[in-house]
This record gives sequence, structure tokens and C-alpha cells, in this order.
Amino acid sequence: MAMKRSRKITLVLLGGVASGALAGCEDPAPTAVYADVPSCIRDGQPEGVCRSSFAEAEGQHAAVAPKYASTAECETDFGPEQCRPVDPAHTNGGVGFMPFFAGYLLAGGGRVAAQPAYRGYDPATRRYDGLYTASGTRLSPAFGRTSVYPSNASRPSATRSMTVSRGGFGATGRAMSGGGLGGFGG
Amino acid sequence: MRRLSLPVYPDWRAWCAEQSFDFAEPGGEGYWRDDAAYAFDLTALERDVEGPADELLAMMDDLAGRVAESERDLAFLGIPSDWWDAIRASRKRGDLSVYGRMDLAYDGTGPAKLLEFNADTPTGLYETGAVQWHWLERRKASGDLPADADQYNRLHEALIERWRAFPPHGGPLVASSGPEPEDRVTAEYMRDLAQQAGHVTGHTPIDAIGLTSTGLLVDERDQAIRLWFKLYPWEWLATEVFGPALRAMVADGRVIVVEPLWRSVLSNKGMLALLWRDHPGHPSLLPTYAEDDPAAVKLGPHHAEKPFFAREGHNVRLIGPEGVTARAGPYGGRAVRQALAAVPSFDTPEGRVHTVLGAWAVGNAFVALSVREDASRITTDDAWFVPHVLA
Repeated sequence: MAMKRSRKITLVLLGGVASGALAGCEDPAPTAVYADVPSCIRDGQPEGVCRSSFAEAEGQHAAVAPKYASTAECETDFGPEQCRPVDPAHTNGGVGFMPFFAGYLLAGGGRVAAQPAYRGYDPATRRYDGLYTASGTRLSPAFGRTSVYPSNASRPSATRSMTVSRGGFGATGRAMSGGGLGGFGG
Repeated sequence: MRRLSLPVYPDWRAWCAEQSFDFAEPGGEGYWRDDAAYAFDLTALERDVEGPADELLAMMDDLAGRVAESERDLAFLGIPSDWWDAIRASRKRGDLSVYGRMDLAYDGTGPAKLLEFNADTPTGLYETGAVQWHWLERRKASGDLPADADQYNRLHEALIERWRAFPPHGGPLVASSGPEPEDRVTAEYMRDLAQQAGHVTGHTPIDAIGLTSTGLLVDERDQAIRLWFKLYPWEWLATEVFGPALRAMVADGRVIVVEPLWRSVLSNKGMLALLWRDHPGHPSLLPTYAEDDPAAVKLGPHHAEKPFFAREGHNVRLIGPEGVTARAGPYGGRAVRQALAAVPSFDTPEGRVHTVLGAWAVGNAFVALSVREDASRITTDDAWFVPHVLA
């Protein structure tokens, strides 16, 4: 009689056996976020690493910083008066707005790439809520030592050819979750 | 159809954790029923469930094609008119559907009957495709079930096969889900299957999806998304800030979405009235009318009321001989009135439960069965998921 069930169940992402890449299955890497080179050195980091990480991050900033179609959209993520126009060399002729360079992530152990950090803003509470990578990974609540998952802190890619807004999906789900309705599948 | 009690398996919670089945007991409340199972006779199942399921799927696919071209039917379903062109384009283009779950009333006698169709974001995917399959192997290994016990369940392999059918699209498949942990696991499972089918995959939370000034969806690294698996309802996306942009992208095919936009006509409960209109008297359908249809009086005083856009049993009312059962919720609007179905109930150590079958479809074929039992006559997200065996 023919079997009615799958012959074999293999999972490559979930489950115990394979590398199981749900967030949290890789080991976090120790690193740090600093506003400038002197504070990095004062914190006991190797001077050469402080200088080279800062230079690399500063060099990347114009290309990799998130870019928005309007000041208002940029300020929703980064706060009032924290955005400036994008250099036309980094848009394809369009207008763009981007946040200021707030600091940099220290390169670490071959697993974490030096890159710019930005101060994030929560418009709901009107508070600055930590330091973020260009792609929106939260690094740390404040400057100083922290740890990150390497897959969240790999070298950022340039956002030169377009302006990007975020957060335009998900509001209904958050409202439903807050109302204690659990999942919405059905 | 019988309900079996099995010995409590020691450390079943640890076993669930190993499977990344993190929501086996959400908030400490019951969900996964490890020490019970429903037993079905295969011949009866093939006759009463498999046959009708495949027929219902064909009927609904045919209906979707006609509704996509009918302004009258789209208006009936309460779908805003600025979305009609995109729905028609999605269907005409043949955007592939991957999966769906029908809820069926079946008590072991006579053909199963359609309660509703979750054609957009059906839950219970991982439990059905993988967890209950592994449960069967474990129970056989421990001698609690016979060595040749089987299960109606090829969801896992069928989904991998289905993901192979997608044409090359020049980028990764990006999976997105909302904040609930169980939705994250479901999305991760689907992503796993797509990866096994040969797609490069990634995950981007739904609220991290970006929109470029050039009209593309992008992931957190600003890479364009060409193939998007979204575990998030179409009718929510439609009302959100990026909704109009997404509509334009679907209209001209800039992004392929799973489940495709045309499936939203089937996950709409108003569809059940259209199905009854087109196939009155069909043995696997329950008589269903829009609540404001004069013909609805034919149902008499006992019937179910279900808002077109309600989910997870919220805002459903059952008016039966034993009284009214209702579930609170935020969903209002027009409802269908549906005849009450004969849903079986069973005694368990925790009390009486009402049992509903989930018939999983991949493409237009029935491939797997799941079972849920609920203390309420309305199946909700408090229902227990119970594995099954063919015996």
C-alpha cells in the first residue's frame, strides 16, 4: 500500500542538526562603538585599530548611509535636525536626505567590519534609542563596548542609486499584537 | 474517526525545543497535544476527505479566475476598486500559489464540508509538515504506535517541489513575517523549504522592508526583492503606507509575491456565498449567503455568522440550538451567514472538545491533513494542535 506521508524530512535552517540559522544560533562577537578616535584610545583599544576603523567608517559614510526622499522621513528614524542633503554624487540625480555620521564600529577579529554608526530615534517616545548600522541593526544603547552577531554587522553596501524609506509595512500587525490577538494567520 | 490517548512521552518539551518548535506552549498555555492522536481509516479518508478536498480546490480555483474578471463579484467581496486591476493582472499572469489550508467539518461519516479557506496566510504549517511527522517517528520508535503506522502528510516534500516551479527571478527569495514568534518560525520553515528547492533566501521583518524612490521593495541591505514570501495578510498591506506602491508593483509584475494577490479573493469569507451560488446543493458545501441577501432566511434561526475579513475565529458567532457561541474581536463589516456544520466532539481529560480538520493544499492538490480541537465550538488560536495517524 502506498505510503501517504513524506519519505524524509530535512531541514537546513531550522531544527537541531543543521547550522540552524534562526537569529541567535551564531556566537556574538565582542566589539565597540565610539564617537571618535580619542575616546576609543582612552577606552584601552589598540590605537592602530581605532584610527583605521575610524578612517574606514568615515570613508564609507557618504555611500552607505540610509537615504530618504524627504527630511521628514529621515528625521522619523534619526530625530529632528539630524539630517542633511545628500551629495548629488551619491544619488542618481534625485534629491536625498541622510543622517549625520555619529560614530563607528570597531573592526574585530575578522568577524566584524568597521563601519559608520548612526544615532537612532524613536518618534513615539521622542528619545534617542541607541546606535545603529547603516542597514538598521542596533549595535548598542550607547557608545562603548558591546557585542554583535557577525551576520548583522558585515560590510555595508552602498545606497547610492536610490533613496529608501522604511517602516511602511507592519503597523496593523503591531496593533493586533498589542491587542493580545496573537498570530494573525487563520 | 477516533481519538486515541497515548502515554505521556518523557521530555516532550525538550524534544519540541530541539525542533525549534518554540511555541509548543505559548505563554505556558496548551497548544501542541503530545499525548493524543486522531486515528482515521484510510479508505474512508480517501472517499470522504481526499476526493472532496481535490474537488473543492478545483472549484475555488475556477471561481477565483472568474471573480478576478468580475467587477460585480469584486464589489460584492468588499475589495476596494483601486485594487481590481492589480488582482486581474496577478491572476492573468498566472502568479503561482504555493499553499493554503481548508477548514473542513468531518465526523467520520459522509463527505467533509468546507467551513472556510485560508488562502493567503494559513497557520500551522510547521506543525503539520514537520513536527507531526517527527512525532509519528518518535511514537513508533517508542512502541506507542505500530511499526507500520502512517500519516496523511506529504506537505514538506510537496512544498519543496512547488518552490522548484518558480521561474528564475534574478534575486533571492525574501521571507517576511510580523512580530509573533510563531509566525517567525513558520516563515523560517517556508524559507528552509525554498532553499532546499534551490532558491537563495533571506529573512527581512515586515516592518524593515524598504521602498525605493525608483519603486522597488528592498531588504535590509537595500537589495531589490523580486520574489517575496510574506506571512502577512494582503488586506493589511493594502491599507498601510507602502500599500499603493505595492499595488503598482503587482500590477506590472515588478515583484512576485507569495501568496499572490489574486488569492485574496478566496481568503475572503464572502467567497463562500459565491461558491454556494455557483454550486448550490454540492455535498461538500454548506449553504452560505451574504447576511443581507433575502435568501439568507432559508437558513433558519440556527446558523453561523462570519465577517468577510475576520481571522482566527474572531467575531464569529454561532447561533445553535444550545445557544449562542461568540468570539470577541476587532473585525466588523459585512458577514456571511452559513449553515451550521456537524462538527464532532470528543471527551478528553480536560473536558469536551470540538474537532476540525485542516486540509492542506499545495498548488491545487490536497497533500496533508492537520487536526485541531477546541473547547469552544469556534476554532480559535486557543485551539490545540493534535497529530493524527492512519489506522
